[in-house]
Formats: sequence, structure tokens, C-alpha cells
Amino acid sequence: MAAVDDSQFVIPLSFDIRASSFAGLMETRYRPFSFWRIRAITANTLTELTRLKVFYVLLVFALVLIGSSIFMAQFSFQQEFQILKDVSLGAISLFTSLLAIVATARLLPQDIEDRTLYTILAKPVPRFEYVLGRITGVLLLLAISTLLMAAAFALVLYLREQAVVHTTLRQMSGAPPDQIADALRVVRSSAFNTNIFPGIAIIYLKACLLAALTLFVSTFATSNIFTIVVMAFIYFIGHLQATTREYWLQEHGGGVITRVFLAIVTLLFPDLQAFNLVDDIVAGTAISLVVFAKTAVLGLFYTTIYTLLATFAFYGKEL
Amino acid sequence: MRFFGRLSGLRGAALKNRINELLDLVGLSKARNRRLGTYSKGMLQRIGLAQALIHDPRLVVLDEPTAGVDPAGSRDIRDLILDLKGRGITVLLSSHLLAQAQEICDRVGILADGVLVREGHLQELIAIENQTELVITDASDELIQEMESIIKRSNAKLVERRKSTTTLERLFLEATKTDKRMTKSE
Repeated sequence: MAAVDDSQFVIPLSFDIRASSFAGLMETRYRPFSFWRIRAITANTLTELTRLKVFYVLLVFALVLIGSSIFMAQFSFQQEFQILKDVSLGAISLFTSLLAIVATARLLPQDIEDRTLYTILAKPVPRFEYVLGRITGVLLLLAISTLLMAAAFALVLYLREQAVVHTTLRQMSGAPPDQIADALRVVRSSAFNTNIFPGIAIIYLKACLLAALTLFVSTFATSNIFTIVVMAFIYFIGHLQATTREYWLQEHGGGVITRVFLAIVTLLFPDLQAFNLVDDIVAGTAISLVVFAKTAVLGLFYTTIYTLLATFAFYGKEL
Repeated sequence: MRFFGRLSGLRGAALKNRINELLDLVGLSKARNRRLGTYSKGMLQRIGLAQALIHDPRLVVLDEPTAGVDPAGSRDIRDLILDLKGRGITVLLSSHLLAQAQEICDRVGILADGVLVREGHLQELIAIENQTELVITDASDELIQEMESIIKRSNAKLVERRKSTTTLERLFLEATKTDKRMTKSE
């Protein structure tokens, strides 16, 4: 018998109660694909996830970290802005990745444990709609948390910029207006640059990829702890994938076993390093539209592939 | 209820009306705003039944619907199943509580090691062909003795003579009902 968890929006049942798919209503209303059903599962997933304490713990921790960077030691304003961006974007990247893994890992095992999955699939809901609804719910949660963290980051950056602008104005009170204008332009360009927002979008896409991959792993995992541990390994290996790919593609590299190992790592794991544009943003290097588009397409491609794999694996899963 | 209704293609006023109708049916209208965590086992089973009925199915499959439920809750669920039957909904019930199955079901099937070993109308399956039961009220001793002597004179044999009994469940329900009434009047 499943314990009653009052944090669940859906109804946990302690017995299987399955309404037949031969229902009278469905003779007229059933569609093989329904946007409304996916929307209902997405809304339910988002509600469930926003009720999780871990969501708030991670979010508060990230916001505190971003906020605390306002009190950084006083270097030159260029260094100060660099550190602020480095810490904040690092925090956004780390916490969205963590949230993507932790939030997604629990979805399927939890639904099986409290038997919600059976009551959902007993309705006219194809399995792919369940997977799509769940992953869309997670992606929405990630979008909300990324936006919140980005807003906090922008606020902190703006406050620091204003502080530096006031200090500059005070120090240059007797200087000619064109010199003051030049100084302020330098300060403003050091604080905000157009790279920040594409950079945050790429961080979000990386989190989407991790969520889709976590959902795929959870379709054959035995518990959410197992999924999290596997994802932690994948996360670290994914950052080394580019290096292993280079070795694998070299004609003269290693013996057969080494080459097979390198091939497995290259083909099975996502290249997470490709999503690491934070260093470029911090250094002020412009992210070209081509680089952004390629990385975004790569992120969408990985997310789609892993969602498809999760769907196929879920179809094969015996429930 | 709203979530499962949406999954079944219901929306707007139709969904709202259906939820109200089902909450009335399972007797949970007054508890509609309470958290599920505060529901008793029987209430959870009834809300589960309501969500299974949201899309107006013709067939409902119930697996041990009264497991872990107290006798009063069990009786409520039994009445609900009979109500569904009255509405023309086919209910396939899987249960180890054979007395309850006997009380509710028209047709039964017996599974042993995954094999259907018996199947058919309940009354036909449990009837003992060569025995007959007479239930008589207000019979005098003389009448009973006369009937026994008639039986002795014939080829028939009286197997058992006993007072009719109620069930333990009915006794429990009657006793707790009386007890509640007395507590209220005090």
C-alpha cells in the first residue's frame, strides 16, 4: 500500500483502479495525440516540482551566491565585474544543472512508487504523451529558475555598475565632460555586454539536455539515487568528451581497447564542454551568432534525441 | 479530479459538473476542500473510484477495493459498486474477500495458479443440487416437528436444523450505528 503524500497534487491510490479504454466518452473524444493532455501533465509536473523543498533550497542557495558577489573585494572595476560574472554565471550553470538532474531523477520512480503512473496510463494517455508532459514540466521549471537567477544576476550587476558610475563621477568631478563620458562608457561596457544573455540561454539548453538525459537514465534505473549517481558520472565524463573525441579521431592513437573505450565515450556521452561559454563571456570575447546558433542547435538536438530515447525505453518498460 | 478529467478530454463547465456529480456519488462533496493527506483509507478508496469514473467508462476494473478499509467504509464502497452496477457499468472485481464477492457479484471466476478453474453465474456455481433451504419466520414448535416427521417418512434426510443468523458485518454495523446514536443523544 502506498503511503499518502499530501504534497502530491495527483491522487495517490492504494489500489489499482483502472477505467477501461473502451469508455463511452472516448468513443467520441479520444485522439491519438492531444496537446491538452500533454498540457495537463506538464502543469501537474510543474506543480509537483515547485512543491519540492529541494527546488527552493537550490534556488535560495544560488540567489545567495549571486547576491553575495556584490560584496566582492574592491579590485579595479574591470576585475570586479569579471569576478561577479564568473561567480554568478558559474552559480547559474551549476544550480540549473543540479536542479535538472535532481528534479527529473525523482519523477518516474516517484510515480511508480505512489502508483500515480498507473492511474495516468489507465486514462487514454499514450506513453509518449506522459514522457513529453513530464519533460516539458521540468523544462518549464528550469526556465523559471534560470530567469529568476538571471534577474538576480542582472540586478546585482546593475547595482555594482551604478556604484562604480557614482564613484567615477565623484572622482572625475573636475574633468572635462568628454573624458567623463568616455570613462562612463568604459564602465558600462565592462559591466553589461550583449554576450551575457546568449550565454544564459546556452546554460539553460545545457540544463535541458541534462534533464532529458536524466529522464532517459531513469527509465531503466532502479532508484532515483542510482540515476543521480549515474548522472554525476555522465556530467564529469561529458566535460571530457571533447578530449576523448580528439584522441579517438586521431589515426595513430593507442591500442584497440583504448580506441574502443574512446569511441564509446565519444559516441555515448554528450559534449558538455561545448556549452561552456562562461569563460568567453567573462573574458569579454564576443560570442558570434554562428557559435551561438551551433551550440543552441546542438543543445536542442541532444535534448530531442534523449527525449526520444527516453520515450522508446519507456515503451519497453514493463509496469 | 481536475487533472484526471483533463487527461480524459474534459474541460470547462463539463469538467466542473462531472467533478461535482462524482463527488456527490462517492459522498465526498463536504470533504472536497480537504487535503488528501487528511482522508481516511475508505475516503481515499472512494476518491480513487471517483477519478476512475471521471470519463464515464463502461467497464471499471477494481483490484481489492476494500483492502485495509474498516467495515463501515467497506460497506460504503460495496454500495458504490452496486450503484455502478445499477447505472449499467460493468465492474470487474478482483478480491480475496470471498464473502464480499459473493455479496456483490453476478458472475464469478476462480483463478488458481493463473488458470481460470471455474467461471459462471454465482448462484449456479454455489448451489448444491440435491439440497433445499427453507427460511420460515414465526414457525411454532408443533409445525417444525410436523415438518420433521414428514421428512422422516419420505426418502429425504434432514441435514441440519438451526436458527437463522445475521452476518458479523451486519452485527458490527448495527452495533456501531446504535452506539453512535446513543453517544449523540447523551
